[in-house]
Amino acid sequence: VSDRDRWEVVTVDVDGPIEDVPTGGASVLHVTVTAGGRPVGVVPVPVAGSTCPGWYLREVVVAALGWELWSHRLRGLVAGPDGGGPPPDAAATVLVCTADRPASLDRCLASIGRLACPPADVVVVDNSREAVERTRAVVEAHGARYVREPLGGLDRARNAGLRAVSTPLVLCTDDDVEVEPGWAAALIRGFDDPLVMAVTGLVLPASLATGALRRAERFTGHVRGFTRRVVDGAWSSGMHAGGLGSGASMAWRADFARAAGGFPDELDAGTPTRSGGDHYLLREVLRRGYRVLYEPAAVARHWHRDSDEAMLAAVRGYGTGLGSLLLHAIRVDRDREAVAEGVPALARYYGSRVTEVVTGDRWARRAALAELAGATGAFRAHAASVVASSRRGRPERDDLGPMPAPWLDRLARDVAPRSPDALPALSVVIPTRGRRERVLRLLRAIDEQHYPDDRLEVVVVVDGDVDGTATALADSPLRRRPAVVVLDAPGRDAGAGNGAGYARARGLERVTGEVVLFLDDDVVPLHHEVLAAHAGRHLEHLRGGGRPLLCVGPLPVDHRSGAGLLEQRMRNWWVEHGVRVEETEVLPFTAVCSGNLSAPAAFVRRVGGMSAMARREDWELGYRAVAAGAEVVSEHDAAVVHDLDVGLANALGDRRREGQGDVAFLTAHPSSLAQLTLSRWFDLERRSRWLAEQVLARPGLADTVLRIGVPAAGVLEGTGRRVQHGRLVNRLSFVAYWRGVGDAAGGERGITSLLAGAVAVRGAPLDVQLGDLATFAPVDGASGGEVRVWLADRLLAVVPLHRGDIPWSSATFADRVRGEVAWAALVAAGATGSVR
Amino acid sequence: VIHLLELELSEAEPTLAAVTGHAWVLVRHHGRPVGDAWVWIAPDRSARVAEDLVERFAVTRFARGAVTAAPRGATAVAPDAVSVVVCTRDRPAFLEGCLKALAALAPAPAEVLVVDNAPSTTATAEVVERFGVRRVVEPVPGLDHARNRGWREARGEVVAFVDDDARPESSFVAMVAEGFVGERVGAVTGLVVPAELLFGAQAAFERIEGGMGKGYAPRLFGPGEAAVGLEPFRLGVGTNMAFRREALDVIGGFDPILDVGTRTRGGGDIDALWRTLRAGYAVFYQPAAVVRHVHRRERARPGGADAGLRHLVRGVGSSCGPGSRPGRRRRCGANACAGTWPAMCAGPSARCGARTCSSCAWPWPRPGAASGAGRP
Repeated sequence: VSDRDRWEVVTVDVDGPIEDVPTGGASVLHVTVTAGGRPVGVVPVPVAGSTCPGWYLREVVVAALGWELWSHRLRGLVAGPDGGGPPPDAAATVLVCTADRPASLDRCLASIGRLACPPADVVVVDNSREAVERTRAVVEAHGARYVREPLGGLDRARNAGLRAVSTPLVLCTDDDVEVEPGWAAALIRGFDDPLVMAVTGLVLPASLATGALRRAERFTGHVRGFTRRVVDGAWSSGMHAGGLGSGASMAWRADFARAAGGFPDELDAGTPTRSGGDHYLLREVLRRGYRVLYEPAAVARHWHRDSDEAMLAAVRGYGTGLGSLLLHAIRVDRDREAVAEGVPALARYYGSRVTEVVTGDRWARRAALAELAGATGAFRAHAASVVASSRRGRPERDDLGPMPAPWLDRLARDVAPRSPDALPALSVVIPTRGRRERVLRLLRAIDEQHYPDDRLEVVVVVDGDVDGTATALADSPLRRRPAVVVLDAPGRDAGAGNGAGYARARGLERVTGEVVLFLDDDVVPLHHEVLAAHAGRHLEHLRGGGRPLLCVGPLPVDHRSGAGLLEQRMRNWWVEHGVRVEETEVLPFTAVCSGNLSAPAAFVRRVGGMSAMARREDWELGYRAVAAGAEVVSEHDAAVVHDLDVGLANALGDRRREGQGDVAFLTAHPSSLAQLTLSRWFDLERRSRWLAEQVLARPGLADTVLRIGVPAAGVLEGTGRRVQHGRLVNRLSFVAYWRGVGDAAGGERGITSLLAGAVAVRGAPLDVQLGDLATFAPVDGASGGEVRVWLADRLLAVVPLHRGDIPWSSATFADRVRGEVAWAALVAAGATGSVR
Repeated sequence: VIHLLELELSEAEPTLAAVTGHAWVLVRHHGRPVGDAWVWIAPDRSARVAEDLVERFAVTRFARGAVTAAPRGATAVAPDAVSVVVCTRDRPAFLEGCLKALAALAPAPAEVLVVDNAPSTTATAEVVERFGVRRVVEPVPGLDHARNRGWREARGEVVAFVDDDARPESSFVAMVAEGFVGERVGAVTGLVVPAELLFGAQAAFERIEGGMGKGYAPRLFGPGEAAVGLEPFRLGVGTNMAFRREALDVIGGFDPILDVGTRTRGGGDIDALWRTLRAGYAVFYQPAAVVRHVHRRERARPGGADAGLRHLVRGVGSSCGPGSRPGRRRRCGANACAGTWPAMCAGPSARCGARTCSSCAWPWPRPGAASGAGRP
């Protein structure tokens, strides 16, 4: 604790027995505790001698990190080990920016050379003024690529690096950092989620030998905790960016970083603003509604500078950088959120600094004062930096390029061409209403599909020809001319026509092929093999073997959509949903989506054809099909991209129809309760329950709320209140859903009696051992019910298997299990010792 | 009556003895104490109480099961290098209990030495003779006189002190030896738990005043901590402390003006531990070295010995530092310390001998002072 003490940084893994650790004469060991290579926490251990006995370390670790160790173990039990896995195959470049620190750079590059998963390329951007030759020599000695950026400024250097990078991923670190061997693999693995645009890692101190180093760690340290977490920009404020990591260890999708305009030249080290570039771009990820992942398994070690002056200067720089970052966001991006949330947050933060000046100890006071001093200089520094940047002239910047669309890329990759000879006769049924241009676009795309013409039939069902679709179809020069069915009946609702379900049912009557494929009218096939992929999936059944399949193709949305908050959220939902569907082997009927669905036509007719319900007609078909022995599967090669143009009012109307559809569905199939959003009725928390009851009791009031809510949400969005907007939209969507339920079920009494009837026919519970959850696929399609989670012979918890309309996914389910069994499993695990 | 029970967490189904009423439970894992609990056990409900306790200690139980240490090699100090010194004064009944416990130690210490302090009868000598251990007489009354005689007479490399009303557990010596986790550890203190809770005063002392335990987490106090406002009463208590002889030599032993038998009535143990720390040694608190202590059975009179001790450890309105080597004492006229105690201002060295206590090694935070950081 005293300044004279020498601290030593060591790592101890608790998967094996803890050995005695030589102390090297230090008086405190700063122990990084890892379990299976994944950091769990750090704990300082005072020592007094040449070795520190293992038993003593164990006592300290157990006392300090007991709960963390348990959470780590539980996560491993529930979702499989998340630190390991094979090294990912995505190509990545390591980017190091350096300025006049050849010795330090040498150490950094040496550690990069020791990476367990060697990067495709290592690029060093040299921003030096003096040590240019020495730096070049060091870079060449390590076989890395040397890029010279003569204009000073860390962000300029980073941008120069981004231009030099040719791989999809770029892993950034600083020249005063040493990375650990698992660093690259952990960062790269974070990009498995297509919505993640940036992954940040854990940065631990490389040395704490002196008092100055410890103070540097205390006031400028980069540790952001030991829990992996994802921040989704569609739901959370961009103000979280600073808590997510630092430039010393972060990875980007290179396309994103380029498309977002790169790092702002006037921020960060080497300019008067002195920091903030890394956080600016993280903020940009969140602002565009994408995700940032903080991955503590990616460990880098930072060499702080061993002087208090340097520490205070760095803290001062943080003060300047934080203010400059906001100024940049407001000045350049006209970011309303920065005004609405950033400025108050900054004010609160500096308020806390002032408190620190009054109450803190000597060093805390000095650091807080330095930060405040830096903050007061932010305006001046920002202005100076902008002027300097513009005087030097902006460096040549490439065209910003498109936003990456990893989900689309993944779906378009590895598509195997199908042999045309074996394909069955395929009928495509497309219901449409009032979307002439889109349906024409789809038909033109179908013209280009690789499919034998003699075995392909297209049926377009025009549900009330409101915009001349039928004529346009007849006039357009299509190679594969569709059969057009026009439904003239006014339908149940003059505005909405007969509904897509009814249109599909009518289309199915006309179908002559062996396989029927339902497509929505606002989709476009991702590539030329979509029809063949669908049809090929049913060959086995058509030839007399295998179960009939309902084949669901992915319905990705374009990643690049998402200007508004609602679109960002819908986009994320669709991407996430698609990933989940693709990852699950056997799908429940709730994964059936008639926007891109194929099935053997004879089988569909046998189970009663397409239902004419307004919503949930796809689930209805799925339910009957599964009950008749079919399997729901997803086909990677059958992706169609669909448009995402939603207004809040439309979305709420949709939600309301879902409520109606759920009631109709439940009335028809009472045993499906567990899979329906309706089942949430039983465990709504008190306030939500009250709200739902009010909606059911006073439909008029609910309608008023929905009417007022839409413009109110617009106001929130316009003023940059991202989080509040999300909350309001959730609430409105909740109201709309229960409003729909009320429509169909006739108030609260109706709904309770309906649910009571459904509960009686709930499916039987499934049993699973806690350690087997990762491989557990408890979906038999039709039955719902609960999962009983066991540890050895102890029953830990009963977890509802489905909740709402989202298909079961191991991640969501695991999260729920983790929440519900944590304590019971801990008690049981301590007893049996079976969980090691 | 409060029952004293134990719960062993490493068992598959930990159980409590079947008793009814209030109980104080010492919770262990593979013999190491990890916590305690006050419980009330309804008739035939001890199994249920045990389950509750297991749940309460679930994190500890899991973590201790999941993290293991390699079997330890040779410790820095061997158990047979430990001498146990018992200081007693005319309390043969207590002493007998203590010696009985010492006889059961496994592994056995190098020697057990009884210091008979200013005996007025031969009763102590007779008890000692029955147990066949060594006895030396210290004619000057005062616990610290007796302790000084004890460690100077003892032969072991390490001298462990227990009081005559203490009953060490059988693993005591092994755990004390283990507690010397490094060469620079000068003293090891251990956990003190009640040997009986039969009287209101004992229960009140344990429950309301916190007893003598210092918690269940091992802790190493480095010499650097002396400078930053460590509260010295956290170091340990005199009924369960062991010193390296070498450290005692350096600090010059215990201060005879302190502790039971003098007007100060307490504080000699903490003073010695504190000075050990100041002399550049580390002090290790080893809760696995367990001593059961018979708390005093009657309420402390105002100004009684333990009242004096608490007075000292809380630093309430008393003196400045319990520093002092004989001959280096200065009367300190400054601050609140004047008069109340035989004032001791000097630190362990001559360094602050001439200063007033506001600048000397006052170890406790004064009321209102933030932390004392940065003081010498």
